[in-house]
Amino acid sequence: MSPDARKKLALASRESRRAALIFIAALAALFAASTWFTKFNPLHAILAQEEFWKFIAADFVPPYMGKWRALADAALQTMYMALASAGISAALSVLLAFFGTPGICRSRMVNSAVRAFASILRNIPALVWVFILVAAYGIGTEVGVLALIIGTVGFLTRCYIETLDEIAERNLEALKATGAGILPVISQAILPAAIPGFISWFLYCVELNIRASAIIGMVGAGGIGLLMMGYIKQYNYAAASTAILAVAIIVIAVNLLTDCLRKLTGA
Amino acid sequence: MEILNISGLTKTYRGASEPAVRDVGFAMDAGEMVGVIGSSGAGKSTLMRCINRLTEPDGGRVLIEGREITGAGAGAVRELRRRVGMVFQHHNLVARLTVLQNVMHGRLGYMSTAAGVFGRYPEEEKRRAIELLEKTGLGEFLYRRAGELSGGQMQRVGIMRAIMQRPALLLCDEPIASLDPASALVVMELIRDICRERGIACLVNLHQVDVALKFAERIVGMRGGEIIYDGPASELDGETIERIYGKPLSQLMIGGGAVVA
Repeated sequence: MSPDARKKLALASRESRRAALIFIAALAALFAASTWFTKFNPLHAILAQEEFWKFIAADFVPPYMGKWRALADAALQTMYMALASAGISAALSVLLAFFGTPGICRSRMVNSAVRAFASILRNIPALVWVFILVAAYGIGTEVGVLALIIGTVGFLTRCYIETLDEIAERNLEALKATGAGILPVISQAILPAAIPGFISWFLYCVELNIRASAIIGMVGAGGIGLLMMGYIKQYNYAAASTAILAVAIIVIAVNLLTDCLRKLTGA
Repeated sequence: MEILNISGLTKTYRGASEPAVRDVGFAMDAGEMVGVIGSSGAGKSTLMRCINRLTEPDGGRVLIEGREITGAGAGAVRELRRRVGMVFQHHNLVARLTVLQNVMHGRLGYMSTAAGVFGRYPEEEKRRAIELLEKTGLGEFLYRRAGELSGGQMQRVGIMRAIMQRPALLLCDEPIASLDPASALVVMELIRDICRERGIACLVNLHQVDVALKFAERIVGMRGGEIIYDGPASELDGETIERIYGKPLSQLMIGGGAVVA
């Protein structure tokens, strides 16, 4: 029996408990310091809401529905941008991912190059791409689609590499052992096994891109974002609020739709 | 006829201080069933994977039907692999594909790249696959997704995939390690019967000494990457088993204790 039966027994070692405590304390201190430096005052944020609600009540409500035709057109443009960019990106990413997966493409150099390329695309926000591209191509949905493709390819390539990596470990080896070449193995075993993962990430990107295309629209990529920005610049907040509502409705509708598709495909 | 000839096979994994397989050599004839035993880490899997070069050996020679696979180019390796079927512990089927699709994968190595990419398998091979599956009692599962089958059934599908290759040599890497005892028996009997019937040389890694003694006529015992016993199952005595596992028999769980007299 233990020397002191009344003493509480620890389930983890003293060192690991102390390390956890220090880690949590450090984290809390970091957050507190960051909040201090941003001059963010939670009390002020709560107490000074009056102005905010006044602004909303006086200018945004009720939403102005008179221009619904233009709004519907712009909303459709936004959806087209999101879908086109997600689709094109998925196709490109599948191709890139095969070169980025170590089990499938044997050259470590090519693997790293693909990963680095995807990482660069991913880590520069779509908003920045739009600014750069607008300078070259002018304002419009073309720029929006292009900017979204760049970011989405970066993101999807990485997700697809992870999907392939998991599958490759087992299936690839079994099929290689039969003496099959890499192309038949990819088309007959790897792709069929990867499709649920591919679809799932693709749908997630459609959701992301709907939101992103509304935002990048504001800086010149067309669609509902451009319309909304126009209204705001004209101080026509009632019309802008209709656009904001439309964005919310589209995002929710697309989420419901993709959830439904996910269940259907078993992804 | 000699199907497999290994000599001086050595493999050291990167970062490891000791070789996983050290100067291993033996040969196998057609229709022979050899059980490889040894504790975890003795080099059984590495040895097996060096034979079809899923793992690249550092030294030594492996001949399959008289042709050297070690040092062969990619094309020649693929051609030689067609004659070497492999059965994995986790069967490694594509769970989303049907049983029939998985079994047909065994034919990919024989097809042109284009035919393989589009999955245009010859009709007579499809018929052969269905026949094989029906004979194995899997006839009702032809169009089921492989992932829906039980562990034992999946392993039988894995064996059929290997048999579709028309192999001269079958490599079974712990084929029953994740199966319940009843399915394990069915799987081992299937491997033995199908190899006997077709004169396939069969090398099988096993954890269980009693299973090895029951199914293999010849035992290879490995310890620390080396072969320390290679002979008939009937001559494997308790003392040798103790040497292979580095432990007294009393500390080894051997089915019923009756096998080793």
